[in-house]
Amino acid sequence: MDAIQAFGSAAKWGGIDTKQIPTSPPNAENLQQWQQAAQSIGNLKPNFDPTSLQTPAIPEIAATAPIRGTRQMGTPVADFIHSVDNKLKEGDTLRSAVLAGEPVNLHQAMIALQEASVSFTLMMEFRNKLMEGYQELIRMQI
Amino acid sequence: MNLIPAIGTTASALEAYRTQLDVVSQNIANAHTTRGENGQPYQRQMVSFETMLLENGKSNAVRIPQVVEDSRPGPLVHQPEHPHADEQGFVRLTNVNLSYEMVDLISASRAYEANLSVAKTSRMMAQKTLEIGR
Repeated sequence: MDAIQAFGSAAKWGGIDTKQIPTSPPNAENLQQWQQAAQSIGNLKPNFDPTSLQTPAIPEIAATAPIRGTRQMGTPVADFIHSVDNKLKEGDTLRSAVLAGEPVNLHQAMIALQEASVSFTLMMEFRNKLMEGYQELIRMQI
Repeated sequence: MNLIPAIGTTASALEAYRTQLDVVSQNIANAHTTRGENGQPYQRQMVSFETMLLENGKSNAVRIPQVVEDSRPGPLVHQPEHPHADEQGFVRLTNVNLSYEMVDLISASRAYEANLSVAKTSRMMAQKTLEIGR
């Protein structure tokens, strides 16, 4: 099997349309694309049972977020990207308000901008992890 | 999504100390105002802080419920040439004491600074946590 065939079958197995994953980091323009990619990755139904990953050592996490085998990943990811987007917009609005001389507290604007930046970094880390997993899948010998 | 720890509490404290600074600046600006809108000399304004439960029901934030007036009368001085002097030539001055105001000013500014350090540190904590993934 040559490399192209292997790539195709791996992507097919993963149920991922590789064209859907944008090559540039998420920004205002390709946010829609990113959401679609997250949706398509979320539609993936892995064969292994993630409930086996539950460790009794961390009962708090297990209690608040039960891991179920049939749970889809796409919607939470899309929600997360939406909330990051909202934070960015909120920071933007406050910054414009400060620049326009509206009576907004400077520290509120700065805190909103910092929150936006941190949540964006978290999203990038998340994306990097996803891509890492995807690359691992691609490199798998069949 | 609460990524930066304790930012709500710190934001409320920054707001409160900003208000205190506002009030102190008002007092200093009016330190020699002998006639207000009600015809009386300016009375010094004071702030008091009180705790406030945040929406998450756990953290105690801080707020200034109201700005109250220091009702003590200012000194009465004999200055017959003053336009606000009464028939006997006495003028009621404000009860603002500049040295008190300077102390309040510095303590408000230092408290603001301390809360800024908290904000900075909590942001750094969040960023460092994200670096676990690298």
